[in-house]
Amino acid sequence: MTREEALQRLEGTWTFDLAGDRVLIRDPALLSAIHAVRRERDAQAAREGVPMGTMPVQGVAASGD
Amino acid sequence: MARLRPRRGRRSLQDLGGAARDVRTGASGGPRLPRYASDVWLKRQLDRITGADRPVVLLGGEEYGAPFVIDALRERERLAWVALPERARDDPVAQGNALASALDRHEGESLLPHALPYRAHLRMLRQYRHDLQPLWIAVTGAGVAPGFADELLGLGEHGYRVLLSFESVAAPELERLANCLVLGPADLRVTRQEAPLVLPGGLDGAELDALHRATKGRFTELLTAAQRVAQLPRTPIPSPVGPALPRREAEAVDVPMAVLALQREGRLVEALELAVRAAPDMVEDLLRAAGPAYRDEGALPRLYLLLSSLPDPYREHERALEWRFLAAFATDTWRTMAEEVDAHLDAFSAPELRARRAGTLPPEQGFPLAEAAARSRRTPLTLWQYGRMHPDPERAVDLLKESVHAAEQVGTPYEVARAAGALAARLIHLGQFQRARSWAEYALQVFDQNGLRDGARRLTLFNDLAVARVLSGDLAGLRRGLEDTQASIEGSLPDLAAMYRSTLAWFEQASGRPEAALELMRATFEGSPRQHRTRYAYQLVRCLNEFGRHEEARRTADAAVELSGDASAYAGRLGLLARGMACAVTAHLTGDVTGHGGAAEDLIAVVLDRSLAAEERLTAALHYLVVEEDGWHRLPADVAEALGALDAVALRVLSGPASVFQRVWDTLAPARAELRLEFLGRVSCRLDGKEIGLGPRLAETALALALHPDGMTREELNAFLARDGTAGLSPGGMRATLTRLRALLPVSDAPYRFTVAYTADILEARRHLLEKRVRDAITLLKGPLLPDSEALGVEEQRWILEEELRQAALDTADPDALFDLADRLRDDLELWDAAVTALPPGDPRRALARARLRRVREEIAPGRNRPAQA
Repeated sequence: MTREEALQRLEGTWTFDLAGDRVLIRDPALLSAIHAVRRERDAQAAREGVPMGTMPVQGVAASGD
Repeated sequence: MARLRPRRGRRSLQDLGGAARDVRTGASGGPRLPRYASDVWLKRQLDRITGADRPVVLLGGEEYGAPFVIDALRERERLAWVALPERARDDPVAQGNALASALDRHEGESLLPHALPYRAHLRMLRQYRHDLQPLWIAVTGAGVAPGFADELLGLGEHGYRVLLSFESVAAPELERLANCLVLGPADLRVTRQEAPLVLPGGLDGAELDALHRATKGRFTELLTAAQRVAQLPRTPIPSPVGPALPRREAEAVDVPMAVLALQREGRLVEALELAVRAAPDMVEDLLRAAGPAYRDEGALPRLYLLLSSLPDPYREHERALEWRFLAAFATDTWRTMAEEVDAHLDAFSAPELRARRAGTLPPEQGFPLAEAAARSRRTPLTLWQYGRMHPDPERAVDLLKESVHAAEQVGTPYEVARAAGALAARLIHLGQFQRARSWAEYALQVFDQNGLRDGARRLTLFNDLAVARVLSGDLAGLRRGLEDTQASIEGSLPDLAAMYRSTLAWFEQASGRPEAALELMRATFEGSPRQHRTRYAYQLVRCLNEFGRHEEARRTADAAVELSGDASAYAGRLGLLARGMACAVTAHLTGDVTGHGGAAEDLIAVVLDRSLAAEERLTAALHYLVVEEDGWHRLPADVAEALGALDAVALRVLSGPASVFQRVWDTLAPARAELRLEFLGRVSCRLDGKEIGLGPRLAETALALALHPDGMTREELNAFLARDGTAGLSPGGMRATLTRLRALLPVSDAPYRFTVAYTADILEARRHLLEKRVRDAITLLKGPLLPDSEALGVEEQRWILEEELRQAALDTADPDALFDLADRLRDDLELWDAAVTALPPGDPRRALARARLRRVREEIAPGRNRPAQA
């Protein structure tokens, strides 16, 4: 299946709405979890001396492992 | 005026507090939900809905306040709330999952399986209606799945109350809509008169007018707008899984943050979907946990779409490729990917992808690949595939055990259940039914205790457990599970349904209900596609032989041979088996020695084919011994050994009528008793291997004598046979009864007793109870003692036996024994209570037992289980 075919079939079935490069969240519990992740990331950045907002969120596993 | 009181343990509208600020931060406290809403507008809606004598459809959805209505309704009534997510569109399995989750939340434990199409759930709900009702089923987002919604409305005809909420204000196209109470915008709108009572105080008339006009009386919009103007916290929108912010209050956040948070919350299906859409660099790592989650939910078709939608190079990464391939396999489109996968395997060792590729190939090509994968890395997956495909049975068993061990050490519960299940299947294939049973039970326990949801895999595990149990002679607790499952998957999962019918037919054969077995096998044979008919032909022939329908058996067998002509070698062998069985029984009964040769050769060919399953080879061997009395020396050692170890129940299941097979059975297990009597559920009497027909009165008399080995006086016998309120038989009548019995069976003069060694099922059941073998006793209980008899002695013995079984089951706390007996005795509060306690968490029978317990209690003390109302 091509990427275009897959995207077409997924149209209208997405769980979340996007606004630009951000996602709109209505679930308060999830928002709390997101805020907790952000606080942890900022604390880690402060500990490691990295300017706020530039910490990578997640490493990506190498392909072919 | 009555207030709706929140139930303990559930977040109610009141509990949500209407504090958007507090909900966002997770802090407790803050303003309560406005009571005015429930007192005025909600009451008007609820009164109309609960007063309706038909299903209800709400149009306009969230904007018109449908979630508030449903939330308030569940404070009044027992209600399961189904929320259909957008991803459930065109996906019957996702729709089934949403329904199953709603019932699970409502019951507080797992009742309906997941990862099955919704029609299976609807059938189960119809089956369980007496235990679950009264119950409302409410659906929000019904427009996502109009077909599902329409069929759900059909539950209204089975006593459920149904409420559907559509986001659109336009009436949906539903076949059953004409039978529904439809509440549209005009009905749901807040009137101008209601507005001051619905909205917070402090707003003046002009503000109210303006807000009411601007929102056109749409409840949620009006409430939110008024709270904004009044600078009050927003009231959250109720949902079955917790409150949500009003649509306009949604917060925009970074996608990677949201993915991480979803992952942390265990919402892996949503996390992967979001990552695929807007953070593709997170997909490869996320798949490690999210791939299994999709499989567990039965959502592999959607995973295939998602991974196919990834841009390059993310879709080529190894884990994405592996899961895309697995998902393509589940959707039967894997061939389009084979070249891509093979190219990757040429360049990388990729052991897990290699193991998966092995499973798509014929055994002779797949086995070397599986072997290479396991040699490259021994993981639960590579070992499972290697063991599954290994041609040497003993080595296969060892490898599968190693896979179980590896999964326990470094794998997931799913991998443990998968490996243990494969091991059970392999042991069944080898005829090691007791060992198979242990592994199947373990696999199922791991599955249930860890809340795994892959419904189709659970059905396969349970089926294998049932086969192993029937063929090792333990029937306790199986009937309900087999019957419910078979009925629920008819029409939606045809292959699994055929497999269950076939297993249920064996169970019925073992339970002494050959008519039911024949009906099941006939439906299975005739309902199967041509290529599959040979698989079931031999079982149908076995059932037909039981009733002496030799012509039909022969026709069925000939058809099986013919239909298997261009199919696989396996189908060909099964065709020979069916023909051999039909010929063997006919030849035995007619003494037609010319028919023996062909039958014997067909059957021995099956016996010698080690690629066939044990039950097929053992069936062939038993029929072979009918036509070749001295044929033992031609049987391979493994078959001869398995025959010798076969339980008596299994022996009968795999054979045929006693009139044909008694000699073979006696060779395997020499009979000690000359007279064999059965009184539980049905009457059977065999004297020196010959069937003797006993009418109702003679059966009662035979039972009386069987229960009194030292003999009975005429008065004692008469008291046993008397009906309530009658004087019993006259001396002449008693004499005539005894004369008729003596013409059939050896009975002494007074005191009357049998003069030959005898056995009776009721005596065996009591012996099992004395030896604390409750499951064996229950297995013998094919039905009540002489169910149609009203003789005083029989009725007393029937009651005593049930009480003995009941006490024994309560003493052992064996979950299968308790559930089986509770189900047979219907409304025994103590047994259901004990069954709920004994059944492990995750076992779907526990939710059913709990529902039954609730109903029985309700019948004893009405009102005890209803939601609290002021």
